[in-house]
Amino acid sequence: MERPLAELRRVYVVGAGLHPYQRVSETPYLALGVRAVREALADAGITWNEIEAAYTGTAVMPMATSRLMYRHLGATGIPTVQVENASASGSSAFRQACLDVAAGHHDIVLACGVDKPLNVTSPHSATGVTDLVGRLVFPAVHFALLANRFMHDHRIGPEQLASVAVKNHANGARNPNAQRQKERTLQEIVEADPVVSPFTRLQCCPVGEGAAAVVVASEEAIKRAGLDRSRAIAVLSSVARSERDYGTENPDAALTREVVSSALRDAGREPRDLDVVELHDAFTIEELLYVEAMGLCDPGESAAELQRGAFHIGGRVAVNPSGGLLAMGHPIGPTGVGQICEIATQLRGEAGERQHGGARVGLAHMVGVGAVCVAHVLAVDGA
Amino acid sequence: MDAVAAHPGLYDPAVSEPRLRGDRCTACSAAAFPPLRWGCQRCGAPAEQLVEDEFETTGKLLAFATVHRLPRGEVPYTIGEILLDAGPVVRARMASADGSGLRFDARVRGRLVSVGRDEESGAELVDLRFDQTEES
Repeated sequence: MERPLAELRRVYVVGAGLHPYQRVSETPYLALGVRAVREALADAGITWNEIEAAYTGTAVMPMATSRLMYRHLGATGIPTVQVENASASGSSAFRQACLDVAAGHHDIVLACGVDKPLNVTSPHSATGVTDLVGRLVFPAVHFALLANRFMHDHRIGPEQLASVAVKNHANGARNPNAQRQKERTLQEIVEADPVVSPFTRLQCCPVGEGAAAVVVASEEAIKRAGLDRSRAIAVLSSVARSERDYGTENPDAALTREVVSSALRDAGREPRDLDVVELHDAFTIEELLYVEAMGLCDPGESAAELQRGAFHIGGRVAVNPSGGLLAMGHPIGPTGVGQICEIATQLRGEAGERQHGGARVGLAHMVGVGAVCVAHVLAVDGA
Repeated sequence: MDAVAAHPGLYDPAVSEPRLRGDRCTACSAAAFPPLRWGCQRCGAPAEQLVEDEFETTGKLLAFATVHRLPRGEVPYTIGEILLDAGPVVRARMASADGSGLRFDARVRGRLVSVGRDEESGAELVDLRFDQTEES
């Protein structure tokens, strides 16, 4: 029987750090990862010697990458492991770190996401099961099929869909760690090169490289190490599930609904309690699908609510204040950890010009091909 | 020389309107295409309880999307998501490459068309393309 995170030992995010997401470059992954980890350690006010275990989210690099990176911080001999769960690799690494501390096995643990496309593999062809389309259906096609059906059913036009990208590019323009830091007009989004109808290039996330790291710790460790309690962000719940057979129902929306409703229930919260949400917007349509699946608005109302500003910074609930996958970028392994960095920054009130006022409760959500889904609810301590 | 299937094993390349080769679970009667073969997704029944079955290509067009840009490969092409009358939902190429004329929930059917020559044997290569049918 599953025992929710809230029934185990309380876990806190005490440090967060990033290497900016960027286009694929000559920068070695070591440089990406080590920078993010050092930033997270400095942010937490601890040294590498205090880290007792490390989980590395990575999906498109060769095996055994963790130890070869962490040794540059000092070969302390701690247990390290790679966590691969497609786009949800970073979220899953963070979940493992939380479970490790919550279970009482370790007190201070690192979750780091780092990736660059050195070893990109094709999961479906590896199964040996062939279908009628093979590689002709790639992620943009999968989500375009969902988008076209959703837009038909809810009478949503291409400009309403593109509004998601306008908002998230505007948020990314205020994020120094974002791969895309340029505001875009509705016209620019709609008139960008078409990829798969209804998506233009600017409605698809850029896949580059980068790193993100967070330090999680127990209550005891915060006291013992004398960490700044006022900046510690509580992890209220952690839920992961994989896709069931949903018949003709939209599988990604159905999976998200299951996972997020469980994560909110475990955290003792309602959708209306959420102030900031980082969700998997690899393609514009996903933000509309998932805000509905999460219960952030009524079914069929997402486009209208977006138009009213409900999901903007300063709106009812800030969705993807980091810029999301669409603007901050989606380097795969780091993405889920980067969401935790953004939520911690928002809940600490340290997000500068992209701060959502009064943010006290946040949710991070990633989907991975397969499909899998992972969600975490975080809150200001005592909120 | 006999025609060769672009997707060997999934349909008979020798007939113009072939059926899709999938399987069916004898424990829970779930139909699957492509075949699940190693075990039933719905009930977990083992391989021995899955039997080969063939499905008519007739069904309903749930969604479609047209690809305009690829790093390599020919564009445009249009993928349809089809709820087969036999039960499974399949994704397949539509005969309409640019998606023109396609309607949501239209009745569709697959037929084999010539798509070139098999590189090894030189034989005619055939593949399934789905079209809207008169009744829709």
